[in-house]
Amino acid sequence: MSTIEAGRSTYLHNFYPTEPATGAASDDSLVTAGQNEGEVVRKAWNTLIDSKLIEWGRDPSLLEDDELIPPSRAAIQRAVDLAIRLRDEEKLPAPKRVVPDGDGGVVFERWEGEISESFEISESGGIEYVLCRNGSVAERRIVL
Amino acid sequence: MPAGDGHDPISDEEIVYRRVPEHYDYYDPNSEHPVAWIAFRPNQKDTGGLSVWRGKYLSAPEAAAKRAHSGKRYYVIALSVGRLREIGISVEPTSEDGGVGHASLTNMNYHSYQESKNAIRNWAEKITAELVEQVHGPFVAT
Repeated sequence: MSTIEAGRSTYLHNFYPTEPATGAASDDSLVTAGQNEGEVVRKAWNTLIDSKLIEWGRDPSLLEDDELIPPSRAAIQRAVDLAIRLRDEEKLPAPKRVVPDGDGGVVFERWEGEISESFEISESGGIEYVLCRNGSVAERRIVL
Repeated sequence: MPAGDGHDPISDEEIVYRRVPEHYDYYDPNSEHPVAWIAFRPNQKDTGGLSVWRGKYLSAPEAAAKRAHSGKRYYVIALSVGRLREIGISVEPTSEDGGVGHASLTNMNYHSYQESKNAIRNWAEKITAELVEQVHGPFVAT
């Protein structure tokens, strides 16, 4: 298993229950709900990529600051690549927060209850996956 | 504001302000987690620790204006020094680095982050989840 796959499996495990939801009216309704949900998820990713990541790359002055370091081109490109992969191959929900890390990188973050997960993309384009439980780091691994 | 050079010891009763640019999205009042932990991640410039400003010397709008870019907007996160110290964070006056009223969270520095990312992340998570007293702003820098 590659390192990116290792990171992905935990991400999947935490946000996608292994047991299907019960109480659905019919198989058809499940399919329809799934398709609609997929469109919503894809739209959220597209908004993130087009309105945020590409804009950051197009106009670095958007993130000028004396104390914080804006994302590098390598970090932005890696963030776009990761977003496309999570959208198209893993079909995961979009992150709840995507922000510059203030040190030349970008962070994707999702949370659900006591768990939060993030992909931390460094200035050089490296990626770390971090899982927190109740506000404490439970796992950190280099993905790429 | 009191007179002085800002080298006086910081008491537990003081409030310090952490300034964050609005355009970095580190604060979202509509989020389940309004303040992002990343606002407390040291970067390459934070060799002496994360910068904060002492409420004893500066108001929140004045803290927002420090090192600000004209026309940009900034939030100011208010933190209790005593509560920061309770979880192990050192808060020291560093007016030599940023003028009167400047202080640093000295053990949240770039070197310590590189040494132990998890420990700093845990502190950052704790600060944002439990220690934020108030968020002021946004204030427009002139």
